Amino acid sequence: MAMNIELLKIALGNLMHERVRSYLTLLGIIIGIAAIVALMSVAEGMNIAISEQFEKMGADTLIVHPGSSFIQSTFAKLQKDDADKIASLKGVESATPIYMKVTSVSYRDEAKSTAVIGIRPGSQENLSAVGMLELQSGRRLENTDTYGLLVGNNFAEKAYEKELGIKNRLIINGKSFKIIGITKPAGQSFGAFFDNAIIMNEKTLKAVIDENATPFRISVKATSSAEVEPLKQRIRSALKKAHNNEEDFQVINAGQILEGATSVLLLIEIVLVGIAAISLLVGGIGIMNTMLMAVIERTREIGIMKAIGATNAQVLSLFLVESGLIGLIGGIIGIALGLGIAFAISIIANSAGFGLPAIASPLLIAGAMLFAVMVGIISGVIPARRAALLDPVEALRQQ
Amino acid sequence: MLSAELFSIAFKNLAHQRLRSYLTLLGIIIGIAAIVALISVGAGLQGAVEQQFTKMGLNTLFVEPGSGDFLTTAIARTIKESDIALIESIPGVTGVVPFYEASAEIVHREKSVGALVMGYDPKDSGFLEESGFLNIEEGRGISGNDTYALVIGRQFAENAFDEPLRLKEQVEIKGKKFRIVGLMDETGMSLAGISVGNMVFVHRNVVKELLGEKEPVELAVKTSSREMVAGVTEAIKAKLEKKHNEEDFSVMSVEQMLSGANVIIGIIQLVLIGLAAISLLVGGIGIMNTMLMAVIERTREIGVMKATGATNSQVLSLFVAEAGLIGLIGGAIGIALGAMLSLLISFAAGLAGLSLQPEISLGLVFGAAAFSMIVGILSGAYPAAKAASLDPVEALRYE
Repeated sequence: MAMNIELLKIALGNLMHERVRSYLTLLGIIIGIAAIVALMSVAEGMNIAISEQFEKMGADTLIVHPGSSFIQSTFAKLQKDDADKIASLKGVESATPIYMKVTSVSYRDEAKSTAVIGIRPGSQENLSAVGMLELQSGRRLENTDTYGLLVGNNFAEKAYEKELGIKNRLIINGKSFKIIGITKPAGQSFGAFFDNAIIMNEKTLKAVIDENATPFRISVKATSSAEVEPLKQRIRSALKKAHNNEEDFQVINAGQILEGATSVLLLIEIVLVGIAAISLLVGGIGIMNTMLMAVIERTREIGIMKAIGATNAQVLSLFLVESGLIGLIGGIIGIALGLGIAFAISIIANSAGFGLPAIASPLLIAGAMLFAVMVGIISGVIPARRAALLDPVEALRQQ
Repeated sequence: MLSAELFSIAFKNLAHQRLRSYLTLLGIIIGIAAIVALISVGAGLQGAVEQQFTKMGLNTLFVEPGSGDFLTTAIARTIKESDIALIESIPGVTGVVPFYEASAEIVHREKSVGALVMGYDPKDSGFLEESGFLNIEEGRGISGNDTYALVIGRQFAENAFDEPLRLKEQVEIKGKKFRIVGLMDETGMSLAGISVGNMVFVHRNVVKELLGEKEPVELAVKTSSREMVAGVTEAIKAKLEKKHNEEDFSVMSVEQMLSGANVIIGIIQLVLIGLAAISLLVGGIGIMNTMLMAVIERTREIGVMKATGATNSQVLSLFVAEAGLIGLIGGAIGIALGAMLSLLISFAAGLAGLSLQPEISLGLVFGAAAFSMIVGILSGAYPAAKAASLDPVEALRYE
């Protein structure tokens, strides 16, 4: 043990001796590690934010949508009574249809086309649990609110010349509606639907906009999360039967959507971190160069060490410790710098309206540290072997 | 000192510390290669996208439902067949091509797959083929007296069912038998961002009658020249708004779509190249380190040069030339390596079914070489200044 501490001391002393060279070599590693850490920290933050959103939705929720892809879902149709059919299945706690129509909405003679979403007032509890319908001001829809509206945050702010507020009146198909609530700005993913939309009672949507409206989505809650998989099958066969034996719909659960979102994110992360890692490779080459120079400069010193009894292994470990130390110190400073950059990016993105949380997870820090030390040691292998294998007689003879 | 002589001395000095020079070069080579590969692949991608949009014709514009944002455009159905005649009557309009779209299940040997069904009028097939929507590779397009005929994408044909679909085979849509009369290439459309997964083409009457979508989803409008686009856009807006009583549609020219796509590609390129440039920064630090070591090693030599009459500026230019030479050589090798990398990427993309021709322009080659040399010179400036300002007496005394 005492030997090891001594080894570290000698290594540090050697690095400090060639101060400028060590600083510049360090700088290469610091920049590489900082770039990687900053990217991964932001990516991890996004991953967690997305997962949280889906966890809110619950492992016991299923979503039925028409067609087999998002684009198709805007062409294909579910049938009017699909939600009731699902509600009668075993293992279903509730099945809530969500309607969506695009129509013209006027405020003080200014008309705008927008998406109108029809919901059952009783289902708002479920929707806000998913983070979709949290109110910023006003109150929720009641069953008795025929001409009451909830308005998406972005729509309220930007749709018309004057910002909309509670109690303002909007005209839809000749009927006058009163705004009773404005939603909170939604996060990424899902909620974005509601930001530019207005929400009304499904009964009113059918009465005023389209009496033949079919559900755009059906949100199904299973009695327990263990029921989700068998329920999926039951919904499939029940709807297939009702749809002339055609499976022109999809049943997905929160986990599947989450998987899709995170796998795209992972792919982006791999590409970005891969490109950033090139700079660490260049930094590693810098360490190798510095260590090779050190071996050449200290040839006589190595000769003396060997002449007074140092083994090859001792010389090897001295040089490996030096290059590992460059990795370690570069790693520590690089991680700190990288996290600083990540949090700065996060703050800038937040002020520009994007939720982009940065996360400093212990795993990331430990992983980056280990990686930096490994880069240092691996870069030092060739120079250290060169030093260890020097012939002491030849080495001492060198000027 | 002659500059040819300057460079030959600089080159000899680099060759003298061969290993160190190689490693320093390697740093620059890697950085430049990464940047060159990313730029040339990016330019190739941009070129392919541009070509696709240009095929559609810069004198073309699209009339889409909804207020122009993604969600309402996907959901709204506000374009009517009667709008076609109105638009055709606008001066400068040479043709209107309606797209009839619906979602349907395609059934083959008991297995069904959802697809987006695009219906067109056979008299518009000239426009669809020219503009790259319909790229028939085998067989033919839909003709005037076809009813139950189908054109499908090659990838869809190969992957949708257990066995690949062939020309003349039959599939079922809504219980009717359709014969496959043509196979098309889908890759061009996916580059222009139009592909939405499974897409098949049929006679428009199939969509209107069998699938029940009577009205076109969107209209392509051809104008007599590119200069007419702005005026026609205004006229369509005014006339349709009057007819619909509101602006429940949006007009988008191919030129606007192209510039939108270019902005996105530009941002992606900027991020990737920015990350790759970090490795060049680290490589530059490596040059600085190498040159600083060279100055220290050659202190006596610098002293002798000065004692025999070399001026400060001659010493300065010698070291700057050495650093610049590292940049230039590293740049040349890096450009070659980067070009090979981009060909490799293009080859790999080709295997994945994506045609991506990298563009290695003369501008890129010279730009990268100049940039690399500048990085070398900038990195060498500080060490060179240090060498130039050495006191000859002190330098000669140096051991």
